[in-house]
Amino acid sequence: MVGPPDDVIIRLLWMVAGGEVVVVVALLAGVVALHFIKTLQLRRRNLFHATWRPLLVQSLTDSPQSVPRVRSRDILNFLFYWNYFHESLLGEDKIVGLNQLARQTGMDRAAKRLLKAKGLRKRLMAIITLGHLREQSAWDDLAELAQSPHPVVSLSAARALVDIDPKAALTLIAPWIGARADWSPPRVAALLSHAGSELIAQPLSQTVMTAAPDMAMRLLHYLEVTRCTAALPAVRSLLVRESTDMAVRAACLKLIGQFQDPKDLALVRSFIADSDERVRAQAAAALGTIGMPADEGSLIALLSDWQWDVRYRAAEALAHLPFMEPERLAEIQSQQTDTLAKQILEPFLAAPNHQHSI
Amino acid sequence: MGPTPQTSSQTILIVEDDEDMVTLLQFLLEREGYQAIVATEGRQARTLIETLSPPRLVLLDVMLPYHNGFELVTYIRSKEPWHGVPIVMLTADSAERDIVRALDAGASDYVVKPFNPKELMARLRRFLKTAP
Repeated sequence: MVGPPDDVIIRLLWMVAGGEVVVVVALLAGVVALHFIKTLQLRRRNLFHATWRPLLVQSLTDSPQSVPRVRSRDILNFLFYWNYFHESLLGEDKIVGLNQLARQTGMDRAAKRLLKAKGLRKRLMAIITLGHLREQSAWDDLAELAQSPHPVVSLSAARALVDIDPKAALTLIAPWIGARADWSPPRVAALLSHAGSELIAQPLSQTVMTAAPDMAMRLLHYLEVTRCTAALPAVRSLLVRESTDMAVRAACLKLIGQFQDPKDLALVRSFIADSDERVRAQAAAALGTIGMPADEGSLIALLSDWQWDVRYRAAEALAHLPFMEPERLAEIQSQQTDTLAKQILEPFLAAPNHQHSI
Repeated sequence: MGPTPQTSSQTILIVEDDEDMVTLLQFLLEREGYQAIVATEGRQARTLIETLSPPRLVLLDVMLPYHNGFELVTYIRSKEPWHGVPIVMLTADSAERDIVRALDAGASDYVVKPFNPKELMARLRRFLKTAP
């Protein structure tokens, strides 16, 4: 029999080798355990899909007679797929069917419990679910969450409120839409478009009239991107109000130019010689969309403005006037004695139909 | 080369990579008495086009792995005897350019996601009534 070696180095090597064996065995055990967990997760996932996919799909047309209990470990999965179907389909039928299935399985109560969860994913899933469920009893909790400092949580809660009761929600969230610079603009625009321009016009118009300049600018931007023409009366009042900030006035003119209502022609003309260059520039741009042949002269005059942006907007407006022919534009350029005015028309003569946007 | 596998006159080919969307489309079609064949990516779809007899209709997603929906429309339109099969494309919301591109490539119609199941079936019925 061979006893343990006396030599210190050999003993050390034995220890290292033994340690390596332990590490290798531990790694192997880890790999086996991970494989086992993955297999188990896959089996559970397949079982979940096999059970719930057909029921979710069936709920779109008929209410399933009996449904199995949703295991607690499957709740998030269920809500994920339930919300997926909600967002993949349109129509009142699917809303009724899916919502009935959620209530039948107790997912309305589960979602309300998840509102208090610590994990962000769980809370967001609960917020979105309660919105799709139009769960009136969650209104107060969602209204509180809509004021959360977390931009994703607060905006998702605002969207859920709009899903539950659009009219009441918009009255509540209109000031927040103006105030929350951290809310994603495309998502806010999507929320407002989802609510519809008829419903957003009044609360946003009311808020914009009393808002601070930065808030008003944000609200005007959303009215513009959602093409909320019903808000035009408020925008016109804001434009002519003496106390209105110049940047807000320019934003009003930009919106009016975008909406192209010929009734606004006289109003726009009254700002074409404004002392503020931002206002002059936007008035020129708006004249480009609704201007008449009589406006050519005032736009030509702006080609020599001391501000580059005003000159550019005037040139752009002239080029895009519906009655403007390339020959007439060339003639206007040749008549200019000011070098800056000649230069600013150059790109529009080179590509008369090119949509420049700065 | 063996005989071409046959599809029945009630067969619809679904080309869609989202499993849940496939389940939903299959359910909607089978409820109306159609049989659905599914390809979940472009290569698989091309293999089916090469080996199957033409189905009654093709329901085709735009975004697919390997060959996108536009490539597949062009391929179907150039392929005898598939070239006359009605193709309805499924496009993502706000992709106006995709719609124009799909119609230019030869698609018969399009449905924008998210869609209303009733509207989808009504659009499909329009082609299924006239298809041979």
